[in-house]
Amino acid sequence: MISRKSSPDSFGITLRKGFMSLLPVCIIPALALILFGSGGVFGRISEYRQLVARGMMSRAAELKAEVIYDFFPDGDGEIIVMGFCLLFMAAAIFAAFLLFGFMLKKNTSNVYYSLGISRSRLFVSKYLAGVLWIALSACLPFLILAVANLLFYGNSPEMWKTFLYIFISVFALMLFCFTVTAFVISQLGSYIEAVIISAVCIVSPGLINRGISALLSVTAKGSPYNYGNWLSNFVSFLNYRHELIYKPAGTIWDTFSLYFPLNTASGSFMMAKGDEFVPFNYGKYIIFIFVSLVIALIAALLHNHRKNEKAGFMGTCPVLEGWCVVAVGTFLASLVASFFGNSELGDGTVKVLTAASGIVIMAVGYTVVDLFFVRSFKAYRKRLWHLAVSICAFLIIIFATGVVMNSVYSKVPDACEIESVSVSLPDAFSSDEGYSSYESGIQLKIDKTLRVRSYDRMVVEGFESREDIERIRELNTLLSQQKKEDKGSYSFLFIYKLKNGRTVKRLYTDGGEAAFGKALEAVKTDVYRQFAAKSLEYLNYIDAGYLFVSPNMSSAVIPAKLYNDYDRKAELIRCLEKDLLAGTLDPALAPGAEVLGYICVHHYQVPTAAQSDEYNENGPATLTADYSPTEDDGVLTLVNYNVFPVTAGMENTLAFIKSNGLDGYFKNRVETEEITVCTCVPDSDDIAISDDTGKIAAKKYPADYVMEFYTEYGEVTAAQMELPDNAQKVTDKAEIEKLEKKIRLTGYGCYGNKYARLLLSDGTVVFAYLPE
Amino acid sequence: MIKVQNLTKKFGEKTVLEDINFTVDKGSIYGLVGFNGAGKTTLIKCIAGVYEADEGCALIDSRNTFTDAAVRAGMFYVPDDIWFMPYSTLEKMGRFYSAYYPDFSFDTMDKLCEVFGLNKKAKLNSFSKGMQRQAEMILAVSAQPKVLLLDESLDGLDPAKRNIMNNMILDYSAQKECSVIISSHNLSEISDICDRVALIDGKRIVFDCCVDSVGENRCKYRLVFTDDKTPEDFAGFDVKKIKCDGKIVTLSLKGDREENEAKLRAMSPVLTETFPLTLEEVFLEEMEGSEHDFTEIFS
Repeated sequence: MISRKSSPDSFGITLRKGFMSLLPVCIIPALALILFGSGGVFGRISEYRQLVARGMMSRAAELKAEVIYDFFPDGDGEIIVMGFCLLFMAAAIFAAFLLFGFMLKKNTSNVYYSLGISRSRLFVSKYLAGVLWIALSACLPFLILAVANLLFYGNSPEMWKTFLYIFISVFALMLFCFTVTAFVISQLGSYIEAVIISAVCIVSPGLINRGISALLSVTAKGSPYNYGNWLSNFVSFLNYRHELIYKPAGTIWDTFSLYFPLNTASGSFMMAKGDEFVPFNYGKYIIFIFVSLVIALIAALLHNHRKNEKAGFMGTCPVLEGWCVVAVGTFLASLVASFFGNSELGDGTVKVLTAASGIVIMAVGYTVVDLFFVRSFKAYRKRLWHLAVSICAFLIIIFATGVVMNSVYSKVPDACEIESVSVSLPDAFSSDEGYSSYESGIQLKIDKTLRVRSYDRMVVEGFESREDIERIRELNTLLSQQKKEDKGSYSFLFIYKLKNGRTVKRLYTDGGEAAFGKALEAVKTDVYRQFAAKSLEYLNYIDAGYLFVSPNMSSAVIPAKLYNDYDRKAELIRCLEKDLLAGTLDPALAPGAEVLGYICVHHYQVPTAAQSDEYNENGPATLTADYSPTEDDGVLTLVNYNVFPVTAGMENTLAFIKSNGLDGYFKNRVETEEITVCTCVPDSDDIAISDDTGKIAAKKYPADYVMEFYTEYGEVTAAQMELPDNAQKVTDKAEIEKLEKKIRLTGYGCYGNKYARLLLSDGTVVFAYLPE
Repeated sequence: MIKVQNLTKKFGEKTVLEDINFTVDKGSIYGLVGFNGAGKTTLIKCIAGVYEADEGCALIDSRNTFTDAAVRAGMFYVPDDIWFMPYSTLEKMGRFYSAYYPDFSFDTMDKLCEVFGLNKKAKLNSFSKGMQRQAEMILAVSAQPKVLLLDESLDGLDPAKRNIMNNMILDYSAQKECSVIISSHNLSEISDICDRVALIDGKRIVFDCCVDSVGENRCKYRLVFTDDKTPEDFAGFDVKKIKCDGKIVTLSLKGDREENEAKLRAMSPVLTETFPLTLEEVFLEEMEGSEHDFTEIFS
């Protein structure tokens, strides 16, 4: 019996065999996601149904807003998202080794290269098998979740668009990892070398991007961080912080975040019918796919003349070794640059130190790697010229960032070029979690402003007048010319829409007090007020929130009144909007302004007893529409709230307060016995209540309340909390009165600014921001 | 027909093969011999398309074996380091090769399994080394190639199986007009089944001739003279090997036999004995430095 085919389709057979060999592998990420990840989705579906049954989604129903879809994973920044993405990446790398690993051993390569199939067809057929497998792996788990969404939430084009986005993003990620690994394997001769070098090559874009970003901050004074390179407009909003350079885990996380999809589309999505669904940006993933295909094409062409005698040997591709040395060396040099950049050394000294340390790091790194691979000092000496090439490449990068990037990208666009500009400005009213009722697991995304991460600030659009544009340009210029001693950690994002159709972005993450003060000028504009008024609308969508009026922060115990009344809340919001537009509600509340009290809109926070172990982060178990806590319930913690200071000029708001019988609460003051004033410093463990942004939100606790945030001394109570050495205690009544007028409940504070701890006569402790 | 033209292969700066030329006709069995590391495997891999020659080429029916994949569909390479798919059987490997060899015959494979006593459903990694070689040869012949490249494929077989294998190669080559190249260290076996043999000495082929005429231009003599002789006395000959023991001289000469014998007669030996050289003796003569006095090393 002879084989049936007289002229076998060797290409098709190789493709089919390759694909079938990978099928068991593709099940793994799908299974993992479904077993360990879909629980979140189905859990939230169940929770959503409970909320509906308890009448807590009635407001949303009135507004005809409903959950459109819910995909897992939920949001980026979570360790589990990283875990799943790493699983997909690992599966793709493993698949490449399964398909192309035959090149790395003599006995397997003998067989494959002597078969009646050309090398290019052999490579391409296996590559296509891998691509098909990747498509299946990326599609299958999310398709199953899409079907679940279809069954529970119904069909919607938005859901399928999101599914497509998630599929494309995961596909791009896996394709890139698979292609790079296949390319590396085709150039090398041993498994261990292929594993190490492909891993470094895969993360090298992130390493170089992170390295250049960090180098820019040191070598290109005045240049905006993260947006001085060619990835501008496609790079995701990396939360660049100096401390992340010091903390390797944070740095690695930042490097990998370049690859993590599933950040914009994850979690639940609720929208009202007729609202605009903001299209996803596929830019980054299209680049990854395109680059992958180019790499594959190059690999196929080079594979035609692969020297098979390298199979089983290490050190056979000095070019790839050199690339890895450049990528890792640039990244490590950037760590050194950041370290020295935060020191007292001059800019010129820092640049020299950076270049010198980079050269040393590369020389050492190259020597270690090359000797490990070639195992011969003689061979290492012969190949030393590759080190020279790597060092030259690194110096070119330094030169490019220091000279080219500085001159090209530090320029603030001319006023005549600008059509409009958006800028992130201090958001006077929101808390850390501003726009989401995070605890319920349902993220509310109402309009396109909320799609943009605002670094805890709003990105205000619509500055089009010449005066406004000039004001924003001055802010930009001030930031680009800051001296080291003037820097802080306010972040500003500028988005210029130019008349020629281009969009230019600038990001600064070290704005100081002067910049903040300049930004407050923009807060006083009509554009800001209108934008802020519009953004207050979201408050209407929060279901399980409390609205209460609080006396000034010196008051103890429970706020005066609690509402869970949507109509009344809507009425108050309308009053606040009117006062905002009239200019009487001043978002940039000047120190010294007479504050009668505060109105707080509270997001989904349950009244708790004053012990942390009774603090329920997941929301109330017994919340009902008519719930009204009393003094016996203890003190509310003012987390996740919006605070509106009430001044004498706010006619509409004051009318609301009076008509609802709340004005009596403004008279209920508790004396402050002592104020301790401290200064925020970077990375200070003494600042127990600041978050990563350095922003301080006022928190009020009874003295024996155990702090949520742990100091380096462990759990402490509010009264016990160690204060930094520079703390100054004030007990003089007149001084206390003066300070109280300056203190603000909502914090704009960050490093370099002061905060105050107030010890009240009833024993409570309040932390607040003290502007200069 | 296999034709190797000016083939040169380098590994880095080291030249492993230099300007190799030979031809293997249809139905001919060509033996490649040489010391360890001489370049036999490298040469076979260049012909098989596994290595790309730095200069020159290997042609099968005037088609380059490296660039033309279709010509490799009629060629089967049996390497010295055998590979089977993990946990595969003869059947499974047969299906693998049938995808790339259009004339693969499962009938032939079944029959050959019976001849060699191999279970086609047993896991190949459970076979001994010899059995694995037999399995690989079965697959090779079942593919019904026009060209068969065997790199030390007969090593490790017991005498009975070796005999069967030799007969199989001979019959297959004759019946299918298959060109076969065998590399081996077993010179007697090479001389038994090969038509032609070539000796590779490091980089080049030092001789390439029919097996029958290996000793044609070589002869071994033992001569007795009336006086003592030294190697210098034989400077006019192409001496491959000489041992002077006083009046008794044992030497191996290359060149025209009649001419050499005439020159020797002119030296008036008392006694002359003539011995034809075997392939092994020719091989050993070509591989200089093969004699060592180990007593010095181990004393």
